[in-house]
Amino acid sequence: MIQDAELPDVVRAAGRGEHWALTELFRAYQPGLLRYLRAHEAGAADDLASEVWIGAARGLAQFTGDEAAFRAWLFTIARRRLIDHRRRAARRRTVAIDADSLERVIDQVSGDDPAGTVVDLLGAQGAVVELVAELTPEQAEAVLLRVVAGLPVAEVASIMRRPPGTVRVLCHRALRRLAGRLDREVRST
Amino acid sequence: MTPDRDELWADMAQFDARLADGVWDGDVHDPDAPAWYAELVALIRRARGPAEPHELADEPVVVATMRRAALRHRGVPTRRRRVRGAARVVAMKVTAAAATTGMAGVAAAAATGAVATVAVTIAVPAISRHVVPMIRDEGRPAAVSPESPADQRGEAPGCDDEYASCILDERAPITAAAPPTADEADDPAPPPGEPASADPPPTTVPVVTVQAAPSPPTTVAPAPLPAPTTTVAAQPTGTTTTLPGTASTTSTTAAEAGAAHTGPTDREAATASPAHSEPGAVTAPRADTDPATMPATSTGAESAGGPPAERPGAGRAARTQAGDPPAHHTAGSATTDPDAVDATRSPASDPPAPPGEPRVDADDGARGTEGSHGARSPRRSSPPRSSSVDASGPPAGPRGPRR
Repeated sequence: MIQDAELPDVVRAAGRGEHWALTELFRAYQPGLLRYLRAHEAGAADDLASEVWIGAARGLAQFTGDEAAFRAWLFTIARRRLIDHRRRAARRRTVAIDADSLERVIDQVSGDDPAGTVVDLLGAQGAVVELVAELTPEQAEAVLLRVVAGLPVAEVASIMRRPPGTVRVLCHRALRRLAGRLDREVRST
Repeated sequence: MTPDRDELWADMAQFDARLADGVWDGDVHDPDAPAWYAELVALIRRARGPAEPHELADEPVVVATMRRAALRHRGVPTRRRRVRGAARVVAMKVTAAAATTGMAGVAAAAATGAVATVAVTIAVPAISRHVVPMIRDEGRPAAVSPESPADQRGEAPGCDDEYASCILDERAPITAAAPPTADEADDPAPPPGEPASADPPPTTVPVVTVQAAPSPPTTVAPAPLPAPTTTVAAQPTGTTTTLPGTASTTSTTAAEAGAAHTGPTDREAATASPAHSEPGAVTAPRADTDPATMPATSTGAESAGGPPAERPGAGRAARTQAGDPPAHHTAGSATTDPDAVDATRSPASDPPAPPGEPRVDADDGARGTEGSHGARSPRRSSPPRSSSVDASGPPAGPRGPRR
């Protein structure tokens, strides 16, 4: 995570196209961005993340603000790209896949490294998935922006175009639902 | 901790914003916190964990793409683009408003007659001074109406600067020096200093102003034609006659043809015909001026006054007698009007005759027609013997070119 004091210089240098600044920004925010996108669209998260970074690079020269503002700006772009992707996917024709083809796809995806899949599930992305597994889409969106992106309620409300109180209610309902599930797990163990 | 207390603790986060933020940040250190909160904090910390290698696998490609995008959009601020687009829209609207206002103004000016006034005072003189000479310089034969401004000024279309003398001065007296016609081939040449024409002596004659009456639209020959209103020195009668009708137009255009390509001397010959100065001859209808009787290929000279050469009758008879080659329908080629014959003479080949001396025309008028057809046709030397010629007055033999 880039400090507040450093961010303006880094963003300015990135706006000039300096490689080091772009790399620093990418390394700082790519994980959260990718986890957020994968929580929504696992199959297109990488492509969407690339689009987000390209869109951000186009506006780096004009960006002004602190680190929180930059993070909010970046996830705003990500959310819009995600919405565009879902619109495009909604217009796509759905092709039915038979069972044999589906099994072959599963074998190719898992491949010879089932441990990798397990690590992914136990890693950061697994935690994210576990967080939003039983939440409604709005709750999941609020929690992802609140937890993964690390945005305050005001920024989440701005990105979701909802009042801050609504975001707080969404987060509280998500917490209650998470509490119930986690409590059952704790009691079971 | 009972489940009721756990629910109460969770509900507290709804009313305590700081607690809620702390819960989701995973930094609440409350001994009364429920057991499931530890699980939640673990998930949050894992979700916010450091970058994993596979998450940064696309770094080189993405950073390079970002660099290109940043460099491409470095100097173009988004806000400026928006302002530029808005300015463009405003400019378009202003332009549309200005165009509308201008059109309305022009319409209002046209309704009030201001446009016509401006056109008469400015546009027409400007066009006459600049545009018309440019058109003439191109040397293209154009259909010029006898009523064109150039004609009204007495200028011959196609008259270059070297032929500036073709602009007729209506007030200047013209010495009639009509060259002899082919009929005079047998006749002895007039002595120098004497006029070729027997009827009109070579004297300085008053001006006869011939005005072109409105005539049906005719196709004017490629040969430049002077103004319909020109000065014709006809007879030493000192009378000024305005020739009405078709006959006047015919005689005028015949003189025009001469004035267009010849100098004042040619005009003298062209205007030496007494037929044009006599009212009787003028008013007499001429068959060759009837548009209905003209062939489709009639040229300006034909329409100007001379009968078509291919037409049986006077024109053919005249050509046969004169021994001319078959006439082409060019300017002055088929006319039986001796004025027109002389009118198409080339000024370059015709040295100006001294005043008072009879002019001997040896040129075939090739210069006058500027075309392949008009090279020799203007030399219609034989006097017209047709009825139309007879009706136009006395024989014009003395005014024909000497063959």
